Amino acid sequence: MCLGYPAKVVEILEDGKKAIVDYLGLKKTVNVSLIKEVAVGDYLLIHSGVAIEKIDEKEAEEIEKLFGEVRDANS
Amino acid sequence: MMRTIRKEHGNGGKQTYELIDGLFKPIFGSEILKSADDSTIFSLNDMKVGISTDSFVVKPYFFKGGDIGKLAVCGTVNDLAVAGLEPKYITVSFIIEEGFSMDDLERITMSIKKYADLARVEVVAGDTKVVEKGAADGIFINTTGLGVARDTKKMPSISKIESNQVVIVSGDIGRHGACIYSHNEDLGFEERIESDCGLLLDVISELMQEVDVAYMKDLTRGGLATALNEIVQKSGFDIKVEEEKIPVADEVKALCDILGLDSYYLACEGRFVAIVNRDEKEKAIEILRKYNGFACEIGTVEESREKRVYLSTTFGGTRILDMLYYEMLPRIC
Amino acid sequence: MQTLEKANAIVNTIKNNIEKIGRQLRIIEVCGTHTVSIYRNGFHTLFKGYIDFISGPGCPVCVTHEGYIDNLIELAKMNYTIYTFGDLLKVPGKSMSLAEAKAEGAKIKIMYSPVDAAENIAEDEEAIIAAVGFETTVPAFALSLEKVLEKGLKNVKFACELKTIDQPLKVLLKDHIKVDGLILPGHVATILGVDGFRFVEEFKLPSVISGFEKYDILLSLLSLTQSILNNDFTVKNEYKRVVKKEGNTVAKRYIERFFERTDAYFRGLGLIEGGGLRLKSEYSAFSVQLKYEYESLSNSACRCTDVLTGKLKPFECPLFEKVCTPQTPKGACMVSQEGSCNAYFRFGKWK
Repeated sequence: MCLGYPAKVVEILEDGKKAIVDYLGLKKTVNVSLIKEVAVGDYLLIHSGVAIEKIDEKEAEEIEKLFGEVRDANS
Repeated sequence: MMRTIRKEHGNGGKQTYELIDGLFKPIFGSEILKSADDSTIFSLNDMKVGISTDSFVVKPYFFKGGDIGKLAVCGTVNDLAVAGLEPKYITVSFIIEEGFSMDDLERITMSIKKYADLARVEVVAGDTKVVEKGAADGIFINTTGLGVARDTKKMPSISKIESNQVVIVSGDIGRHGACIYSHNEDLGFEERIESDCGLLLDVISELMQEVDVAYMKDLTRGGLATALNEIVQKSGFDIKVEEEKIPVADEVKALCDILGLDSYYLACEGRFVAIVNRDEKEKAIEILRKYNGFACEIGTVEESREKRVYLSTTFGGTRILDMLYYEMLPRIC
Repeated sequence: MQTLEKANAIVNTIKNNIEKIGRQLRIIEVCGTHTVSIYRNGFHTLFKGYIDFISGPGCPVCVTHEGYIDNLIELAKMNYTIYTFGDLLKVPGKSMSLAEAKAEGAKIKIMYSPVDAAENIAEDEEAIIAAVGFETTVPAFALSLEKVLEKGLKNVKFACELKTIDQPLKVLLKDHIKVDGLILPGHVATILGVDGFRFVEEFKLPSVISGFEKYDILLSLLSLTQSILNNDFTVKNEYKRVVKKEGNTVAKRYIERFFERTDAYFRGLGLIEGGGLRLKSEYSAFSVQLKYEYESLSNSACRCTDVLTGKLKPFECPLFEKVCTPQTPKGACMVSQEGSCNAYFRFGKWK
């Protein structure tokens, strides 16, 4: 019911409520009001232009191992 | 209820075909038109010639990697090229809304000239209509092209498609559609994706010299999925493509994930699929790669079960890849 | 190829688990995005004979009553500009869809983010934001209203048709369907947390919170089949990189600040107590009164209800593929890209 995508914070905009995020090289401005203590380099889950959670990098890495190799294996 | 035209009648998908097959073809009734592809080929004083026409209504008029003028030349020229024709002449018609910037019109016209020169075609006729403010959206361009057969013995044709032939795509897909979405101010993208808008003449000319190509089709509105579906409908074969092999650039994939779009249906303006015999595929891919590093084999022609395009997925599942059914809209779920 | 082998190994373990359980499993994916991911990645063919995937009520478009669309069209006729997600455009109302109303000149604009919409609405435009979605999307509407308040806008109102997931799920599990396990919606859980789904345990059904990538689904099926095998009814979390125990507390506070529970109509399930969210009374100036008549669907042959409750497969509906197609949808399950009928139609599940 809800599309989301993971993206990396590359710049926090002036008022702190918005940030520019990067997803696979594509940059987009999103609202980050729902995230406590956002920092450049954080990974966020974005839904309808709003960041709804920070992504736990350790947990992501676990999955990344599988995912990363799946991509490599077929490229 | 009154029957009205909707946007999806013009998106190159299912409804466009219903309009063409259900209204235009029966009324015009031309035998040539009945068998027509993107270009129509016929004999004129023993010479094989072909005609193709196309209208361009893109917005914005200037986008990363091109503009409506470049598009208007490339679109028509590419339609001729994939039919095995060498483009010779084009006509250009403008419908312009009152108040349109003269500077922009000049820029667009220069672009038409530039790409016509690159395509070695001559602009031989044209027309200009200006309509009242509000009666059109800026500028619409129509181009019609005339070409002659490169080699009458090696004309690609839908009837040359056979099972076990290989389907090759000439580069990564979906760029033009993604480019236009990335220009939409409301969607908040920080940078634009570059369109694939470009001429296919040189690559096709070299390919046809070296390889006996069964069939070619350029990918335009409706993207890869719609083009492959047209091929299975007209040829009567199935096509099976492998998801993992279909080349999609990261930023195009990103845009699709963000907006809930499907890259297989995004428009391309400088890509084509070629169907070749299995023993010639290496040679064909080698030639295509000189022009675009993403060119690769994506699937196979198979004996038909029901004229479908099948997609095999990474972990071993299969699904149908159908035509575009409706206007693709950004969605959140 | 190492990883594909790993994936194959997981597929085999899942199949082994199911063989040990000894029957074809009925698994409901609550969320429409999971439905699409399952079909798009061909899991329905990969696990044919092993798992029967049933699509749940978690597609806001599918469960939206046609009366809501009629209300929006009425408002558009009164010269309001309607801001809507693209998803809703093709949903048939009684006489037409928003897309058709747009073709006839109604001012209907597609928004991607409700927050950006509130930011960009012109001061002289009487605007209505169509607020549709489950808990994942509700915070975005809360932020949108906050923006409206901040800017002191008097020309923006919300037409709320927001839904909660717990109540319909309870109704479904209690009264309607028999399943072996549930794949729970990862993005609603992002907001509500694992705790927000503890109620599923009371139904003594194994469940797993899942992400949406193909490997997420695979790992979730592995977890779920193990839970079924062990009669383990604790809610498992296979989307740990995003879903916390307590969810996103900031987002939950935003929801509580602006919204309160209300009864809501779910297409296919009927009126559900506490199944929706509306603006609190102190914000009623920003809320549009919607008028509803909850009579049965206008097309009585449409079996959306049975499809949504897993009683019928889409292809068993007499309208499927004959008169009801993605071009000419008769019911919401065919309209939404997440609808099970639409997914069956496009990805060919019935073959």
